[in-house]
Amino acid sequence: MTAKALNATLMKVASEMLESLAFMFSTPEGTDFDPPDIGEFRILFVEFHGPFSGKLVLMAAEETLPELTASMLGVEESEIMSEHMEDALKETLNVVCGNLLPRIAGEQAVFNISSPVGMSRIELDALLQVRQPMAKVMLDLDSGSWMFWLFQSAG
Amino acid sequence: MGMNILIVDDSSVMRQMIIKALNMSGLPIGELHQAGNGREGLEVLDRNWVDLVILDINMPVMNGEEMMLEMKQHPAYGDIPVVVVSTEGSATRIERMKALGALFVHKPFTPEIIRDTIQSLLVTGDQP
Repeated sequence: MTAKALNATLMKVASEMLESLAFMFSTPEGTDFDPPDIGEFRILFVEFHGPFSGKLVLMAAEETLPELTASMLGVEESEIMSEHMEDALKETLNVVCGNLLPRIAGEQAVFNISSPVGMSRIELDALLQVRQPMAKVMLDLDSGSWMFWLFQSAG
Repeated sequence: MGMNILIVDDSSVMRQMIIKALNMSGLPIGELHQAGNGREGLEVLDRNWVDLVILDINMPVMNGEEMMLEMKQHPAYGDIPVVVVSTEGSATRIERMKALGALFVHKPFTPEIIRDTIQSLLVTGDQP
């Protein structure tokens, strides 16, 4: 799969999952971007092992989390607590990763996907300095942007 | 009398989404139990009567496949119907779970899919 096709696949899966999980609609913002220096974001990653191994990183604007969480849980935004938002974001990343990998590696491929964990901005910057992502996409939602990077492990 | 259902998923948000889907389904629901991984799920089975297990695959400590294998070896749990609700996209692993008797629902799901899958268990009275 070419880099362009990988980006398109990641974009399609991410937008489909956001729509299915939380009825949130996104607009593709492209693949030529750097992590923004302003605004509040949460960064998570999930590691996977299988025919190829690596990690999928998500950087999500804080402003998008109440709507995501309220929609997933079916409650009002005023009822949401911070740990719900973290968990909703983790589950969304997990679902995106679980649906992305078979579209890249085929339906017979078996991957083990670890639980999503948080990542600091310093860790993300360091990762981007030493590793070129296989794919990267940015989606624009009503209240902020989401960015994904797909990395393949060395070796 | 309602079904007692155990939901095993490491995401509390996903457990709530499944509960929401169950409550919308119109199915006769009894007690709802929750567990964050397969090991906790087996502990819930030790302490409670459960009619149906809704099970994720990728979880820490003990994953869904491991829990199901242990259930199958236990005389009291071997016949409890299992619906796997997972992001799992590997046809190989899905077939392995189906071979153990599980029905499969892919995440993301709609409440209707959860309802129809459980109803198919009630109609047939057994697993595929």
